[in-house]
Amino acid sequence: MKAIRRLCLWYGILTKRVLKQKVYLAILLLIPLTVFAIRLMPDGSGGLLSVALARLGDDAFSVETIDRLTSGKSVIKYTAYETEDAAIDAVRSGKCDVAWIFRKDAGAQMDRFAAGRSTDGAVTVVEREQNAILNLSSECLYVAMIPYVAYGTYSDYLEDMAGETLPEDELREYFNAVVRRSSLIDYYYLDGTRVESGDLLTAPVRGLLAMIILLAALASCINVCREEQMGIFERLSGRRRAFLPLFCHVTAIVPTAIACLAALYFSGLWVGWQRELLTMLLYVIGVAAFCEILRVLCRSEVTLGAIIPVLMTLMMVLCPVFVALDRAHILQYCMPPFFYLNAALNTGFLARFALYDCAVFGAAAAAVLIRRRING
Amino acid sequence: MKNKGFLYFVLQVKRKAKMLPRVLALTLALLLTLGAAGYVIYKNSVNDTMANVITMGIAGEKDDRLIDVCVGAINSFDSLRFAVRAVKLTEEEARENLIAGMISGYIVVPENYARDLYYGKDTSLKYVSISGASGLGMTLITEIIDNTAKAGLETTNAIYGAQYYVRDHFPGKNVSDAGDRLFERIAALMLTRQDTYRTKTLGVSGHSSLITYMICGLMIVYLLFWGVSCSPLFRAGGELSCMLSARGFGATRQIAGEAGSYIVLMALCTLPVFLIAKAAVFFAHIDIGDFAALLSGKAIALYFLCAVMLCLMQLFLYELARDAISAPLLQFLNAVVQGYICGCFYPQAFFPESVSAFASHLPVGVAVRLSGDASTGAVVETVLYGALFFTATVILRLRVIRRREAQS
Repeated sequence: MKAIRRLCLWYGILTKRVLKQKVYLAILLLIPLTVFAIRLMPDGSGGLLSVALARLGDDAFSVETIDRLTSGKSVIKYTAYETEDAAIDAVRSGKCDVAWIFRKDAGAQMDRFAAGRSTDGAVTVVEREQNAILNLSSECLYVAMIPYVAYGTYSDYLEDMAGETLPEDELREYFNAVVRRSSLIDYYYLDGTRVESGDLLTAPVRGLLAMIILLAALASCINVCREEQMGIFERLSGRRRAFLPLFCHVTAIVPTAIACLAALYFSGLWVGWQRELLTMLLYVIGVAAFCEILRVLCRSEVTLGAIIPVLMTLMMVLCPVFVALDRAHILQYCMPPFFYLNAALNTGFLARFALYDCAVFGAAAAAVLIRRRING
Repeated sequence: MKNKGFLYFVLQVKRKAKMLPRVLALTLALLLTLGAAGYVIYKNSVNDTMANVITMGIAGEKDDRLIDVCVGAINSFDSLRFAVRAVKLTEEEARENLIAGMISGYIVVPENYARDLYYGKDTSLKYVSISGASGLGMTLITEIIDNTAKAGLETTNAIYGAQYYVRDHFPGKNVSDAGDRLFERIAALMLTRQDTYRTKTLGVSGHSSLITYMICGLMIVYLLFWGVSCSPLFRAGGELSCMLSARGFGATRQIAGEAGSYIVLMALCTLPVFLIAKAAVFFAHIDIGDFAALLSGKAIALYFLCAVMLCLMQLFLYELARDAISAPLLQFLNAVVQGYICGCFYPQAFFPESVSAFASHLPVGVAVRLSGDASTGAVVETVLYGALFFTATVILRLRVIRRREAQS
């Protein structure tokens, strides 16, 4: 009991030391406020690519396709323009990345294509350059045409078989008889949890918040290095002095973690109190131990400062902050954010995260003890 | 007094240069790693090998035709070949591969899926992933799968519609054959889909290409992160500033000396980036869009102007928060938030128009604009921001000195 009270006292003192910095408090407030501001941004009007749409004719194919594209939800942002020139100007001025101009005879050209005859193309794609994302958009253009192509091929095939023109209503009725759903796919995580459709703007927020917590721990490492140099912990007994830095990291991480949890709550990425608190607790332990290992290895604040950008960049690339990469698994399994970001949405990862924490905590304790022995 | 000012600058350079070797060594290590990875990816994409970033499993009945359609559709999307690959697996294999991290996710085609569809039963495919981040990767995968599913849906409608029609109207014909023939027709059209559109390229004159834009964005992020690594240089408390002020080194001179040395350190750390990039372009014959234009004298000068402004911004933030925990946190938060909304991580179209317009006038937004498009407006804004940050830093330093003087 006495030991717990003493632990709480130490925790209180060390936390007070961190929280007395007004700027630090301001930063903590700024974290949820910034995320809240991002959440307030108008949704649905942004995308990975901006496409200008224009049509030269009034045929059903052009009108329906443009309507479908502009009304659907996609990572591509579609904007309809009144004229061809306006769409091309949007591309030229950099407002849009590509323009799709539906030709005057677009419908007739698509009919020719569906019948397997040569065509001059139904759409003119105007772009400033060629790159992978623009190529992806071309596939999206074809997918947008597919309802027309599939129906055209189907009717053409049956009319060929019948040797006469078949009634449109009847053909349409048979075509729509089987599958009417707009999508045939449901998304799940490995543990059976259904994936909720996320907001594009807030998608990387959880990852960036995880990075902020990690940086708070690294900053605490720099602080501890500086204080060790100044001899602030000299009066403490050997074993207590050895493990105090780890405790210091925890006191620096916990307020940041609370601010990040508040930010997550406002971001719309919240997955429930139990899961969030548990994963965050595991993350705090993992990050504190991971950073303590780094501190013991680097030993000086300058080296620690120098590795921060390298480490952050590496983690942003290898951990699923922006994109989940299936590469460098050994490196990924060394990084606390990798476990946190996976465990937050996948209960199957929690056990691994706990194991990782045990391993990294053990490694940190070993590193501290070895260092203590070397230093005498 | 002028000599003393210069002396302070030289002293600051010497002090900062002490950490240069370590920062430089780690920067070079990072750049070489990134450069090597980028080169391998670039070369693979040029050679058109299957060096995919995302591998997707398609699980279900081995001889299901629909699985072949899905695998074929994903693998035949030319633009995705570099990024996404589909492999045919059983559900158990897919699950094991997913846990082992060999694939990003898998689509499960339920048993009798085709038959259920045929008889109008409500059935659906299942995409299973382990990815913790429902981030951009997941969004991109969702887009790809949705597109593939839509193509599959329309094809299925056509095939089953035709089979029903043949069953009801052409009693002597083989229903299954009708479906197969129609499927072959649609599959053949899929291969010639480029015929549906004609492409016209305007060229990138006056604007940077996407790859150049992203490289510029990454360079700016690198500069912002580099600022975080300088946190050991700054100490809380204003004793030294107060002492220097008493000896005739005013706040302006102090900040000028510190800013000058900070910029010198930044230039020394940034120069190798350009040298490595130049060498890479020269020796590896890299030809990505207008990438070479990034290494022209004018582009480097503009980048340097951006860097000076960003250095002054970082110095201002260090003046605002000097303690060891708040300072790097503030630098990082600033780097991440500004980098994010100003489009350093994503293409410009990612954010809504109003946000993009606002972000383009933030310091990092101005830097992004300037590195891609050397308009007079962007240059003026950069200079103005630089002056603003310098003045604000001087004012903050003056406040610190006065407070210290009042205390003593």
